[in-house]
Amino acid sequence: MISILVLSGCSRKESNLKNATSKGILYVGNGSEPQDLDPSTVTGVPEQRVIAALFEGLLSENPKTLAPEGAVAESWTVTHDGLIYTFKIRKEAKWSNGDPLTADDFVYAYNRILSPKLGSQNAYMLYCMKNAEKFNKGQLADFSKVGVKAIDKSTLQITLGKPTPYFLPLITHMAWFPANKKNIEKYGAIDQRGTQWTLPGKLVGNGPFVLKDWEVNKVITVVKNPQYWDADKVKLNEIDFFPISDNQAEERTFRAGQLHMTYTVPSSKIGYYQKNKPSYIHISPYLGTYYMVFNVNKEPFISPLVRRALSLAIDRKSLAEDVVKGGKVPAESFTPPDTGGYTAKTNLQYDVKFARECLAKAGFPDGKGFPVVEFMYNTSERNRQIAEALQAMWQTNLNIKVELVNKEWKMYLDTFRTRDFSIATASWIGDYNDPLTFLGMWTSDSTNNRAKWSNNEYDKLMADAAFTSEQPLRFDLFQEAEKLLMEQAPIIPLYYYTSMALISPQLKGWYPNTLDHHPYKYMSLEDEK
Amino acid sequence: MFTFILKRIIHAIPVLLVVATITFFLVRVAPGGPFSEDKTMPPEAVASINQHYGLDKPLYEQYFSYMIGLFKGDLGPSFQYPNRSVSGMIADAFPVSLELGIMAMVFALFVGIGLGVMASTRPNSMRDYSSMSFAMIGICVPPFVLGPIIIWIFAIKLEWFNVSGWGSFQDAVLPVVTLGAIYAANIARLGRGGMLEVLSQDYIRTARAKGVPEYKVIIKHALRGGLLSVVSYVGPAIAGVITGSFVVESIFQIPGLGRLFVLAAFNRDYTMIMGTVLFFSVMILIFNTLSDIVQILIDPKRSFREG
Amino acid sequence: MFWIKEKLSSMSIDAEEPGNSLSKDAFRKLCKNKLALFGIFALSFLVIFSILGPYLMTFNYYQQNLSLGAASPSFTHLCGTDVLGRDLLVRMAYGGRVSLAVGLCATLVSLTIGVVYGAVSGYLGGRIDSLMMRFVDIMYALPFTMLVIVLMVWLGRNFILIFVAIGAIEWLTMARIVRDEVYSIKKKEYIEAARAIGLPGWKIILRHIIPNLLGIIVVYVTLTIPRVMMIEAFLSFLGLGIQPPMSSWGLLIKDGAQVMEEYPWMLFFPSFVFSLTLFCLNFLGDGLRDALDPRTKE
Repeated sequence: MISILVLSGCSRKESNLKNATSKGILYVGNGSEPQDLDPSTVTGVPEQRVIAALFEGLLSENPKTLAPEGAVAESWTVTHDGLIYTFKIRKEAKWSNGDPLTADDFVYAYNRILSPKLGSQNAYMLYCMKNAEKFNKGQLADFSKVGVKAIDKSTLQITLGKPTPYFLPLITHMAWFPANKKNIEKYGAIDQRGTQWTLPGKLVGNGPFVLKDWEVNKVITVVKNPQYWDADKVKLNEIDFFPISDNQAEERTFRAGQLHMTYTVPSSKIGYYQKNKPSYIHISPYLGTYYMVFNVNKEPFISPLVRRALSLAIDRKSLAEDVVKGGKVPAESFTPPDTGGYTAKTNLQYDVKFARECLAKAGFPDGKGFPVVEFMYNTSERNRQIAEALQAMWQTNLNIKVELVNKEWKMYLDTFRTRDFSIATASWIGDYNDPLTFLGMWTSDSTNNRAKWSNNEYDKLMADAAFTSEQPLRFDLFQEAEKLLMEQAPIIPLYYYTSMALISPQLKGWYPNTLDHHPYKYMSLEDEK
Repeated sequence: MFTFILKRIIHAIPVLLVVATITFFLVRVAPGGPFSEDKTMPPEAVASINQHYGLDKPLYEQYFSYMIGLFKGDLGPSFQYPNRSVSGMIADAFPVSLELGIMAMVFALFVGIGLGVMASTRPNSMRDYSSMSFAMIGICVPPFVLGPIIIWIFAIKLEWFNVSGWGSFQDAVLPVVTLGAIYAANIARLGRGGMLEVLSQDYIRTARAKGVPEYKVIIKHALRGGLLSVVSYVGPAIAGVITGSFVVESIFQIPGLGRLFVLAAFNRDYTMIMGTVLFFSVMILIFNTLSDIVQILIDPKRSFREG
Repeated sequence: MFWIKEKLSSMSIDAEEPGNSLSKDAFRKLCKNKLALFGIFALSFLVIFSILGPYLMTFNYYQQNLSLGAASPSFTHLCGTDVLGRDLLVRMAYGGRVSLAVGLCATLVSLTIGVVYGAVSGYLGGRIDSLMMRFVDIMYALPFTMLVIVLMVWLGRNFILIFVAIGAIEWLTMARIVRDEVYSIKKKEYIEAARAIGLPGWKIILRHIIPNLLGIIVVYVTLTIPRVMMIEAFLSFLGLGIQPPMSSWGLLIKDGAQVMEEYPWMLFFPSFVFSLTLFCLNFLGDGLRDALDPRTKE
């Protein structure tokens, strides 16, 4: 009986990945199971990765440089004041059911995502468009007043409310993708949530692949779309997305030859790959920052001195290298270096002496009288290790006690609403390649301002920057803002993200970039020699 | 027998109603809602979503519409996957858990009875001690230790079987063994105990004295009585195996019911949680009843009137 | 669980006399059972290790050594260190405290509820008895484990909640067993005799019923503790239950299982003590059960 098992095992083993490669089928480890595939309503990264195969916008990103390139739009012009963009849509652009793709599909999509009832959390990405915010907030009922118009079937004109230097990279985001009105309204109203149109057999997209199968918690299968305007360039025949949320299990699956690529690497395995299989592991800078956020309206964190003290007492280098690993860079600012060409000039020291002085000045010499505060983190191995490390650092360096509170994701998010926290871990991944996506979070009216910090000077700096596209003025304003942010410390950046991936040598056309976007259109599979 | 089953069904209905009610309120009472999102939602959107799921109605109204839906067999839409229904997702996940569970139970019976009989025929010998100690491994080593270890040995080092997934024979072996281990262990112990009792009976001595070959003594005469306690164990255990394999499904990434439930709990998918809990309860009741029926059929001393 | 109930109820049918000669008998039988003896000794060692250990060791359980990271066993760190450089031996001792405490307390919770409930039901008999047992039947159909998971996910970090939740999963069986026992004891002639003499109810319970229950209770406790510890470990595996920097064996095992290939000592040592404890308790429980059963030969 054992021999049968061995034989069957062996014969199956080597064929797994080789088989897939020879058929042009890509196996991707995709993290958690996607909730939905509607580009206008989803917010998660696993969802985005599948959507990127099924849909395409006016512009797409160059796989190496992330520079915007023509996709559905073959050319475009912009007026001198930077307010009106006109796009020419290519004639060959089609939907997967054969329908021609027209400018109206974009108008319809923007109407949809901005509809108040749909409740899309990415609607704010369209606010640079004239009157978009008003319409989305229900202050304007007539969509025709919003700055998007279909001049004719193949010409789309977008009018902005104010000059937006990062507009072209911005519109590669899925919030700006087109939508097929006939297809969507077959299953519900324009602003109705949770309709069936995204299920296999129903979904109509305009991307290089089309949805074939979706078995929840098992696999999502997409196959090459013959109607895609650039179908000749697409070399893959099929992509299978596997929802393996446990990154240890995913790594084992990769190692056992059942995946071509992953989007994460467990930190305990980084050393192993770097030593034994260095060509398999890829670590690249990622546009994201891991940080701690304070509830600045709750004692004892009302005082910026206390916040700075805690920031100074953290050995970021040790945290990044010993605890988190994976080439993470200790943070010196909130905005990661070289974001859209901007690198912050601030730096964050590890200075225990100064930290203790700050704490003493704030009224807690040697930690005396400092209340036990709750440190909230959302459930994950990495967060737990970081939380424990920080807890020990603050205990040793400042003699203060923090109590670790671990909350599952939804509870964690909800706590920001109820404000029932003192310190929490958090992370922010940039939506687009410009410092505004980071610094803009901390203005008084930003919905992403979890600290609920409000500083007039900061607000003014950011408002000024919003109306300038002149350099170096714009970046100078950002530098000022960043400096203020680090001094007042409503948040403590810890490290900049890196993206890590395991890539089989059979996969070609995968390139690292700071947004960790890997368009499948450029990928191909080759047998190993 | 028919009246027995009927009586069981009638008794089951209030039980299920209680289960549904308890779960419903438990789930609603907990702090936090199902729809907290990373990027904050505008209030109109929140209102729209609440309306879609009926969360804007008063609690008792929600309860009644849920109960009515239950009778029609409708478990509602999933909160996590807005365009899918809970019953649909359970229907997809259940066959997987069923397969896994049955295979694990077959494995457990095979190994367990084997070990138990082996041990009981030579009590207090080396064979007895070693079989029982081996069985102890199943009881004392948690599946989340056993699982990764056998994955490491058999899937990664030896490459005989698959690390995860569920679709082929290679996917199945390791999860089945991991899941079945503890049941095999318990069956071995029970089997040994039961067989020991039976083997000391007079009629066994008579059979042996008459010259019946040993294997026939065991299989034809002893097994039936000796395995009674195993049968009474297996019934409820099957329900447990099929439904409670959260750990194994997580380790091996198997898209079954257990994993569906755990993910639902973490994602606050209210309807999914209730759907799975109810489904599990029904399974438990069904398997308990089946187990009782089998026991009555095997054991001549009991009758259906006890039900 | 079902099979425990069968074994236990079949065992004490004949154990009628209160106290003395039975326990002497049982003690003798127990001492002859080598595995059970081994269980007792190993268990005592583990308990002493867990309670006294941390006082005798140089490191404490939360002391980190980030630059060291996870190091394999050496003279300074007999069992190696974990990812944050914390000494594993000390954490195992400390974890033992937590796991054993949870095991004991949760078992006591289920014991208390179960015994009281079962005794009351069995002694009162009649309709109250049927009603109470019917309630237990209903509760049996509730997939308790699932509800506990739901509760733990949402109310997670309450230490007390863990005992109560786990205890709540287990009390049903105890209630049933105790009730069956009390019911059958009640019918015995010596109880009737006691009542005929005029002994008050509470004296009957104290002198006759409870001593006969003790045997079952002891066996049950010894066999439940390992199951409770398994549940705690399982909850820790899911990320519920004990919160860091506190640790339990379950949590240590979960951490170790994840990095099993790179740092095998992190899995091996905690699993070993955990399994050893369960091993001992199970064999001890078996031994006790065999010892208290008048039918087993010496």
